[in-house]
Amino acid sequence: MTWHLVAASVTGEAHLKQEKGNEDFFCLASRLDGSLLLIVADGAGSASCGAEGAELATTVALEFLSEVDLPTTEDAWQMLLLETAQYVHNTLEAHATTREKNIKDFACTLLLGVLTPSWVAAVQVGDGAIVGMNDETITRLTRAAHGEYASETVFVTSQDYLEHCSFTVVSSETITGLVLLTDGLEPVAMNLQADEPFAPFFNPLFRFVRNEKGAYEKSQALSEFLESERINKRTHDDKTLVLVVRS
Amino acid sequence: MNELELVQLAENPDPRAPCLLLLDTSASMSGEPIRALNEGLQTFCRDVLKDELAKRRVEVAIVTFGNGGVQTAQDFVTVDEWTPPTLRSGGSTPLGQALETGLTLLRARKDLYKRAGLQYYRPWVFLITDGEPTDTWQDAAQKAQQEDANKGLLFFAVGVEKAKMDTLSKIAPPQRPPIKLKGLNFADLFLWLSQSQQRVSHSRVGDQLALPPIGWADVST
Repeated sequence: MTWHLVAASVTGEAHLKQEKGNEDFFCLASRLDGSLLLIVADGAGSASCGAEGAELATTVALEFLSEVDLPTTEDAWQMLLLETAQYVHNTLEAHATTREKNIKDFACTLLLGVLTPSWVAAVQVGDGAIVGMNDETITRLTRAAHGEYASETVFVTSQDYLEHCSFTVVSSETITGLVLLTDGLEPVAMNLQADEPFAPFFNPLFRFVRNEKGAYEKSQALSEFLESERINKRTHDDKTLVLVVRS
Repeated sequence: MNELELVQLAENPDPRAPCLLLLDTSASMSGEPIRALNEGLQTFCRDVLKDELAKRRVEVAIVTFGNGGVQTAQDFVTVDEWTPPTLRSGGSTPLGQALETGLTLLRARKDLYKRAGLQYYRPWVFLITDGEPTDTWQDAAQKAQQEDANKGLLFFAVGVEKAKMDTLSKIAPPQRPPIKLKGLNFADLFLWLSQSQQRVSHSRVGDQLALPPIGWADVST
């Protein structure tokens, strides 16, 4: 089995204007057993250390998932996803205490995908989206937590984060590709009124990662795409996209 | 760019950031104050227009109290389609009724957003007055404060020149005391409002939004 992988993260125009850096972070790794770990976190712009929180969240989630024994049943997978979110939350809590701050100051979302030869497991806390592909069918695998107001969300740092963990565990046969994206891309990648992925956004991306050669070239091209005028006209937030397809 | 050129972008309506202005146009605003206020509205419009996203997202509505009683001078409209009015002064200060009218306007707008499936940000209500209400304002103020406490809106009160700050502090929510405008510095006030609305319209949770520093407040009072 071959994974075709591409990822990029670019700073939103609004952050450039405010002289802030990119507050999205992502980590990709493959375990010794060949499983793939995809982790994305989006630091809340409203939190004083959102970026620090997001960076730490991706790092510790990666550590946690690199070392655990991967489950063999659906139930055990669900537990593992929740434990990962819990581990991230608790680590951020401890970090906040060390820094003599509140965990809210490190507010960030968490999006996570694990692909093994037998399973695809994903969990989402907060906004953004995790989208799966089976042949040409594109579906949302997890749900974003939304409030009354636009872009109002729950974070992995929120007190009620466990209630808002949305997860999916499926047999790997039913998924050929997986995308994780932060909320900066929601306006162009999702049909927000129906709360569904916009397939004409995803299908060319899947073809792109499968057909193009060169990992570096691909991530360069994806970065350029994410920073292109036509996308920047529609969204000013940081944008991160992680995409994997198997063949 | 190959396949990436074939990527189509979803067409989503912009989320709306409603901003309701409750403006005092009573007789005491005559002369320089009303001129400065009108210019402030122009400044606000010009500054929001500079922001491609904010101009499609920020929606302005204006309720005036004074000249002609209480008037909806502007129902909600996105800034890119807004022509700021030239307000005239005269009459008394029916602030309570204006606040009531404004809250009704806002509720209707929220209903409309929901029916249309539009996302929206927490509305801002911005009250500017230079006097003391000439009608009963207690009920309306209580409603506004309640809605503010329930996170239904953000209510700001600004006093100009001889405004009765004591009364205004009873109208404003306890957690957000009224602000006294420095002289007739409407220009800076509306620039701040524009910058704040731009931040709102780009933001996530409105709650902890870091607003620009208020440079237009008179801190000596």
